Amino acid sequence: MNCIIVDDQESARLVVRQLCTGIEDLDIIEEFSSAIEAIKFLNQQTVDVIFLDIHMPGFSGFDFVQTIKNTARIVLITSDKELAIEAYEYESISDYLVKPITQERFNKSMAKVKNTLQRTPYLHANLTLEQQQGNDLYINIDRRLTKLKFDDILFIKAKGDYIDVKTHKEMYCVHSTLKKIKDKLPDNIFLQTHRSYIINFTKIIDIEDNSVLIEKNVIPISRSNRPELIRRLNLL
Amino acid sequence: MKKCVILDDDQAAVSVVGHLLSQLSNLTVVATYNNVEEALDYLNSNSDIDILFLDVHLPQMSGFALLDVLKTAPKVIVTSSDKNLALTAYNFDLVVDYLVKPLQKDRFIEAINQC
Repeated sequence: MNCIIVDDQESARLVVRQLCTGIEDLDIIEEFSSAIEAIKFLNQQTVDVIFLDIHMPGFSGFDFVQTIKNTARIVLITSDKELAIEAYEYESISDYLVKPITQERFNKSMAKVKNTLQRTPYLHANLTLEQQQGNDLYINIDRRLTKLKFDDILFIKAKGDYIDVKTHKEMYCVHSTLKKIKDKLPDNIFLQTHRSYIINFTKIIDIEDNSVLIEKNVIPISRSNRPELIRRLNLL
Repeated sequence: MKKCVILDDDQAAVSVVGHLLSQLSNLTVVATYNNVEEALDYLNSNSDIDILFLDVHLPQMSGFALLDVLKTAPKVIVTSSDKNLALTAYNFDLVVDYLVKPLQKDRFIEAINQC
């Protein structure tokens, strides 16, 4: 796992560095005394874990969490015990460690982070991806909120004021637009192939000139969307 | 279908969680308890529970004490009116979220989404 440390105090960074040496396969790739510098770095590079101080001059740790468009797991490191409840508001925050931190507690924290990263591999696979909340989407069907796992969705088709969401088993008709659902889907597995279609491109069986096959459904590809699709393929 | 258990000494709080869950599909409440011991017995003999909604201030023992002796591993969503135990909750790997009462529907769904 790659990690960075963001803390305005050198002594605090030193403590984290020492705790990290006790962990196998954890590499500190950079340290930052300024949150702004760390944000610039994260715009260019993906990391697995961010050790983050809450109280920094000019920029709180929570501002930082809201600003970054990275999918790293965040471990807060602080002497302030009072903000744990606020930390639960952010799904990307994996743990909240209060100084002084024992190696035992730190090890436990890293085991938890590792576990989370393994459970959601696509979350940290793509650095340009916006932070996604979870692995699923709730859609409103007959006043019930029905949960769809991203991975179960095959494709989505626009139909006037409605969209059809096709899974392996079902076709859900939802009052929404393609643009709205597109914003809710992780763009590393979903791709628009046509004005009226978004596909889960991990489900593609084969591709012809102007269509893709997903299960038994033939989905059109428009000329303007074709280059992006081809670019994403691992082509021999 | 995810199986849920609710533990809260306040029956009204149990109802609130039950009501929120009834509005979401793929989730079913298989048991509710007002006391820790009975809940613990049930959880320890049913390893297929997916989510436990857990209050922390309970008459006989704290919700966290239950987690210490629990032999199964459901995802735990803490529901409490006490904000001050959130820090303690971070010490338990099973806890995925901490919701402060009164529960908000949007926030509740966010918690479910993490399970």
